[in-house]
Amino acid sequence: MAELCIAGQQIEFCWPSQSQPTLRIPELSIRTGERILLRGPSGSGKSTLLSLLAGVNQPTSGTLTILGTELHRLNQRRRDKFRADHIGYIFQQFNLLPYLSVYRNVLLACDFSAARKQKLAAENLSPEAECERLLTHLNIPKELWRRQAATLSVGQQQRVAVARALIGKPELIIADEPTSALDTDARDNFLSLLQDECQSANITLVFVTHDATLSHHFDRTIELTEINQTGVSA
Amino acid sequence: MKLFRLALASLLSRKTNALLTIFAIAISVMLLLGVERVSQQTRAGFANTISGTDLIVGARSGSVNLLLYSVFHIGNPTANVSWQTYERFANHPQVAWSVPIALGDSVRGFPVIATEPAYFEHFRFAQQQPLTFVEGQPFAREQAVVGAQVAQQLGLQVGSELVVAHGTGSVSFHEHDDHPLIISGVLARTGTPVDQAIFISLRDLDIMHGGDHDHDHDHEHEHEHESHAGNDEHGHMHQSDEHNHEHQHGHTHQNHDHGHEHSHQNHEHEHASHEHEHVVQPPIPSISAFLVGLQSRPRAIFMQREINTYRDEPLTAIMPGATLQELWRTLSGFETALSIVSAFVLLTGLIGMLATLLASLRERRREMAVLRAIGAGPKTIFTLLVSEAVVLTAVGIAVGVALLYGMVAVLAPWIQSSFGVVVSLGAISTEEWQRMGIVLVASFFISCIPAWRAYRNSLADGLSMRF
Repeated sequence: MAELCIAGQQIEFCWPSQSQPTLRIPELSIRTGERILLRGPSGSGKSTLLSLLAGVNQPTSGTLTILGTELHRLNQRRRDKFRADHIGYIFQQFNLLPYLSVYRNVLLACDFSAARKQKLAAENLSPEAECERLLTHLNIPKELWRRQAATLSVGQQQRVAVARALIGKPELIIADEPTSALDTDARDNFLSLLQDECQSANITLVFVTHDATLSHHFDRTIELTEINQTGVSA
Repeated sequence: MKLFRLALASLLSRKTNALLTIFAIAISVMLLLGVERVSQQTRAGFANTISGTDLIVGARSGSVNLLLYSVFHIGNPTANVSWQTYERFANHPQVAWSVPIALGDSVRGFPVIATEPAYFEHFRFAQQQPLTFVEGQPFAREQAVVGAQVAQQLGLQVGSELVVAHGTGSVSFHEHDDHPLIISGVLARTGTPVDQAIFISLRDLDIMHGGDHDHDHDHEHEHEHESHAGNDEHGHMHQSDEHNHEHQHGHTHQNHDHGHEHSHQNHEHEHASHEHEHVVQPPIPSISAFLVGLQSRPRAIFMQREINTYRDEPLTAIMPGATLQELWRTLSGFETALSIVSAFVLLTGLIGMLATLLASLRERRREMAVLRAIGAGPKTIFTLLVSEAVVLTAVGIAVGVALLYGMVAVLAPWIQSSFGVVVSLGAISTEEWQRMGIVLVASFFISCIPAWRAYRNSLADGLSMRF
């Protein structure tokens, strides 16, 4: 709880095609190991904030420090590498490459990151072994592992996505409404599995949703409309 | 390497599109290379059809026309050259050798060239190569020599019988079934129209056309027969020849008077005894053209002028090399047109690929976003798309080359027999490699369009999936 995982000051972001900034956040701080629910209605700039956190885009002004690294000081390529090494990202849907097997989809995260592989090697784990452990733990039946990802149910696909995000123990997981396509049971199951994994590996979790009923699963809820001062809610 | 495998897996997931793209590129590459190959070999074949002949002389006509019928055996002479005129130039002091040819007949579509045995001695093709016999020897009377293609296609060999018909079409109206000629020789393959030709003596042609000429067959005819093997049949043939309407056969026209002078080649054939005057009978009253070799090659232009301005009969003399070039220039327009068409086919293939790639971008946007999320940079996305296009094109080129070779292997015999063009299965030429390289480079540049788009999308979309 000591150090900050995410620290932002005076973050402003404006899409090139727009005159009004989409984001203006005076201060954002998330501690390491915290599990945060980031809540906001659609259009409140959630996706934009996530792309800043993931280092895909950078703030137009202000500073954003993640894991002690000022992302704007990195060039595009190094920011991509930073994301590959330290951030697990889970989409709302379609997380997997449909033409690869479940197994290959999970290992893909290691293919793009030497750091994740090294981290596993330090614990005497092969990516394959870790992949199998995660899939088992996330209740993906073994007979599905070699199947093409597209043949799985949505709930299964989302759990495989969690496995991919978690493999190699990145410091930060960003999940962008990963449960919106799931029914209540699947959602609760998904959430508890995700929480378990993050807790045991001390991974910071930023979970985005528009669904306020989920807040009790998290340490803290950040209302984007409260911290974002653009006043724009398109 | 991992990226390459990823690109491959992605590509395989879109098999149908990929295969269609490959096929489109393969077809256009095949056309592009095929056109080049056929035209190059046609050009080479052209230049190789005749050499060593300084002038070709025929009745007045266009020079290309004269070349076409005398060398390529395509079309017919509009008029003939009289034997006297031929004799006159044959005895010209500048002329080292001359060979008369008479055309007009065919056997199952293969042209029949009536000439003298000297033809085989003087005719040259390619780099001054003489005609050689696979078996047998030049024809004598009642005999024929056939080109390699004819022998192969009609299954002829020395000793086979051959029936010659009127007209040049494959379907002949009059077949002289009773006049079989005996094959005396088969020529080695040359890759020129000679392969498709049948050579017989002028005299035999004249006899077959006896009815068509205002020329009565002479009595020495039968004397000649005695000098040849197989002459019993010949006598028989004459009696039953329904075409020789005006032809007075053998015994009935010993004393027939020929109003014109003829020199007769077979003069020395034990005719001393017969009462024919000194007038030598020509083997045929008129010929289609004659080939001339000069004592001094540089004098060809003077000789050409002399022949062209000959007063007694309107003649055209051509220098084969120059006219071949003229003919090629006529055809090169066609060649250029073909090249342009095949270039456009290629362009269509590449645009098809571009369209496919652009269309796939939409469905692949999720894929791109996933890759971005796990750390792939925009450059990786760019590389992925470009490498996909380049792989598709490379495979397309390979398939195209395979198709080309397959087509050549299958169609070459047909092309050769139909057009006299030998298309070989030779190695890929530098120019062909170049063309393939151009295709590959073009595909690279074209694929940069969708790749650039994907690059921009991946920057603009961030990690959101916009559908």
